[in-house]
Amino acid sequence: MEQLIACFGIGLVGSLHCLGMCGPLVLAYSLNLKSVDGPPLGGKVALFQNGLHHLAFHLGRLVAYGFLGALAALLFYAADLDRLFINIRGSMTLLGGSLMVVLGFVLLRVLPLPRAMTRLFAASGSQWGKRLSPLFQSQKVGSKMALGLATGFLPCGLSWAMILKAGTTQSPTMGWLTMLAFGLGTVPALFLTGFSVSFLSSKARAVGDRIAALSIIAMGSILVFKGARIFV
Amino acid sequence: MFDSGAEIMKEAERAEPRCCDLCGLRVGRTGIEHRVGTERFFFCCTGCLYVFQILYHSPDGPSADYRQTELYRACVAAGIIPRSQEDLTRVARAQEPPPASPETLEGLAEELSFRVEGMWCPACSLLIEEVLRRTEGIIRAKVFFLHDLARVKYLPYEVTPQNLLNSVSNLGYRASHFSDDSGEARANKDLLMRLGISAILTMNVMMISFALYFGFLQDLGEGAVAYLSYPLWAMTTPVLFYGGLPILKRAYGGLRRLQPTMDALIALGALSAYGYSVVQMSRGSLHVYFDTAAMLITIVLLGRYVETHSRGKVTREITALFQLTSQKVRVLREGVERWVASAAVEPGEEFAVEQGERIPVDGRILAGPGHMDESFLTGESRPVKRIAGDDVLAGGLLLEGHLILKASSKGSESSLNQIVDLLQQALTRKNRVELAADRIMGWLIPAVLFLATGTAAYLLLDGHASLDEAMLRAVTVLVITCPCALGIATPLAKVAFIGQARAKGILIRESSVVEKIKNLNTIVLDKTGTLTQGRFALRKIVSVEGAGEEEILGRAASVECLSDHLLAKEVLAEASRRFLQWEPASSYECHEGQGVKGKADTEIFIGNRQFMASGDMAIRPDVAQRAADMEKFGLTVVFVAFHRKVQGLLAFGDSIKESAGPLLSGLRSRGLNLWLVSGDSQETTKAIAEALGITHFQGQALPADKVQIVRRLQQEDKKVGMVGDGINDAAALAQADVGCALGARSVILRETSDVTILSDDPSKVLELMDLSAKTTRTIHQNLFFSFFYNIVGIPLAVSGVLNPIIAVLAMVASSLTVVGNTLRISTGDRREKSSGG
Repeated sequence: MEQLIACFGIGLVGSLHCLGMCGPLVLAYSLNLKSVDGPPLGGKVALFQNGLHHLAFHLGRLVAYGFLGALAALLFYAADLDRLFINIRGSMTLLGGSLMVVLGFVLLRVLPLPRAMTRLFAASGSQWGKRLSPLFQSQKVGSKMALGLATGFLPCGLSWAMILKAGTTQSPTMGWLTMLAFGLGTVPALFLTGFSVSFLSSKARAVGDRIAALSIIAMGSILVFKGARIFV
Repeated sequence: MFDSGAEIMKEAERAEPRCCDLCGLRVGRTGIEHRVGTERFFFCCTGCLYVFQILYHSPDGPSADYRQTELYRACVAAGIIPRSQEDLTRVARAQEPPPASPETLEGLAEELSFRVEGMWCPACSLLIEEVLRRTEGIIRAKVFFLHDLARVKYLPYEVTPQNLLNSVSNLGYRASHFSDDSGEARANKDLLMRLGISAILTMNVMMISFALYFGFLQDLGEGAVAYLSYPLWAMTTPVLFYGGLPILKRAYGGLRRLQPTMDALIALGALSAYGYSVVQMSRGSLHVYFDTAAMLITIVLLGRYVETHSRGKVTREITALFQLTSQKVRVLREGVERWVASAAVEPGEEFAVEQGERIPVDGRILAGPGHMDESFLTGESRPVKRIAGDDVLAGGLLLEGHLILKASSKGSESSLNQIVDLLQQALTRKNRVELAADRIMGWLIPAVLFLATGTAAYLLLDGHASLDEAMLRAVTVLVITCPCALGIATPLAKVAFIGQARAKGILIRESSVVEKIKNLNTIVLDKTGTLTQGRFALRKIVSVEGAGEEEILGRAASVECLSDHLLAKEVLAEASRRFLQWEPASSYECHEGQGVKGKADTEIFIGNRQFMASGDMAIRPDVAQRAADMEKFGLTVVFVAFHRKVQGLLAFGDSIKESAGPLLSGLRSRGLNLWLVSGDSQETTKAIAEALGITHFQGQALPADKVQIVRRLQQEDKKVGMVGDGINDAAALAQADVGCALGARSVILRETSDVTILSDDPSKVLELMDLSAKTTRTIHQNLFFSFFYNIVGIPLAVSGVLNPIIAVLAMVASSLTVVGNTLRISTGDRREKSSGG
């Protein structure tokens, strides 16, 4: 249970970063909604009026996250080496934990991502952009759900780290719950995009970003310790 | 409103650390650059890049400018894209026109030197340099690890000195202006405070730990003993987080920029020992390593303290020099004394120097006299009297008197500044050994990290060792492989060499001479001004008729005092040196090119053979022969006749310096071949060469011929050192493997020679050779020591024989060995002197 609360917390703090990144996405589709409903409104007010759309968007995201968490847990379980070697125990926990630590450093902007990786995303990004564009224009609630689903798959270091965390549980149910908790944590900030951001300075967001990254590193380190049998 | 704003934003981004084009957070070093068409965007993470792509390709885009889209405005309105006070100042700054060319930049740039404290090893200085160089508005930056000094050329409208100091401070080092003198004292006090507190606590930690190890406390019972780890924890925590704070800070500063320094290794070691122990403590286990963590920090602090002090001794000479260049001058403007920075003094301005002050700018004395200690420049500590009309160089100390001087050069171009510039070049230029050491340092730290983790991983996976043992070994490996000593082995010796040479009045332009001097086997010596005085002087008085030398001189003086001929001045100078009194002649006649005659009691004739003949003075054949012999030695002979007879000969010429003899015998005893070259006639050169016992010589050598001689010798595979003084030696000095110029006054020589001896004493060449031999020896010893510790230590650490405390002791010992060994260059000489006198 503590684990889930921790994940929720990371989501909550980390979403200060999401705000900068996914906030524009939310704004982008809200803008399209507004233009149909009447004269364009100034960013803030329109959002509540479209509550249903937002709900669908976040639901989509949560579904995607949950799916990824469960999938990761399953994969980790399947790939577990513990059953093959006698001397190695908790290898997947060790692996997942170390990867989380690395990702944490990436989020702290200490380590760069491999260049090949960023190039890959730069190239595929425009393709995705073209595919998704109809979803932005659409007025249907279902399309927001689809958009949310897609958002869940965004190449975000924070969510990757949490997926790793979910993987180390090696139980699809726990993995699903982990990601759900994280996703729920990110909802409030994004939900209140229009309101919350203007009073959050970029400094505050940077701080949130850093806390999230440090928490990831801490969580990863704990997993490493666990894998190496220090606790338990 | 946003149209122009967007432009300004773009400008602003160029001037400031880049921010993500989507979320506005700092991009940092891991940012991703992405091009769309001609425009470049930067993102903090792949996520932002992705979202941007989606938005960019959505129906709102692609627009000509993303920043003009409705979405962008909405984002700004919502505050996602920053629009804070920072932005406004950033925008305002970006509006200043950027200067055009590099030359203009140079012109606008200001220079700043400041003190940087807390550098452990050269890796720290590299890090600071790197960070400074990347700072906007900095043209050049150089950090001198050994002097705790940074020199920066910066654009004052882009960055303020305070910004620079702050950015260095942010890395965990302490930066301060030279002007606040308290800096060094405060740093020392701070270090001492941390060391003291850490040492006391660590001693207690060690006492309890030892008692635990040896089972002295077993009687207390298991439960009670377990509680002992709490006081250990309580005492170790301040050691690590107060005593070790500077280390931790710098470790973080370096790691954040992916440049792990020595601090990182130490911090990693101490923190892992501490962290592991805390976990063990919370589980009630007695397997704690608080003693290791505390000792690591304390020993490193102790080593640091000792090192700073002894390093200060090595570098004192040069650091003092750097600080001297930023002197203030009492400039006299309209009769009023005003303090002006020495760099701002213009040639022709008058300034005053009081007793006990140093001459700040080169100048000519208008009112004096004063007794000066010029040892700072020449290494000669005998006080010199300087009177009105004399030229003095910046750097001399006025021991007594009050001088008014007229500046003869710009303050920023004074000889002192030139000397400092030269020294700086010499210090900055890295020689072969140093470059090799740098290369090794470059891969050593990653290799150490790899080795340490590898050791731990092997032990864990192998399953034979427990986790704490694996961790301890990794820490030991981390600590023992610290290439601290390697980093300072060569540079410190080099600085000691340059500084010590300077104290002897020898200016090193090229530090690589240390190695080159050792290999020399041929020395080419210039005659005039190097081995001889280079000055026409009365060298000999020969009496042929029984009149005393003093009588001949006195009679000559009474006539010559009416003449302004060059020889006349020498006669008078010699006469007054012998305290002779003379009456000016009553009559005086000058025969151009022949001689002078005058009347005082008797008719006095002074001149050459023809002049004697014209006055019917017969020259005895043996006297004529004697004169011819002397002329063969390159002397000019003048006959003196009175009482109707030739009474004596005055021989004028260049005299061999007193120190030439010891120099030559010293050079010979070192097995060096000697060559003498001179622009004088072959005969004269031969005579001097024979007098000095030099078998190889060449006279009538033009500057080009001297170069030719050096080159020919080099083609015979000889390593040639050239010692010369005149400007006509400059080319040969440059051609030689080691060029050594004599005399402080000729600035041009400094440009072509590797070494300049600031006094006229050629025997300094021997001192230079001794010093460089000593330095080479020291460098080899230093390298041996630093490698020795590592090479012996690493296998022992990996195999688990050493524990971290022994490792840190060994590491500190290796650094101190190197520093102490190098200290011998600086102090050994003083000891010789004091025991000798």
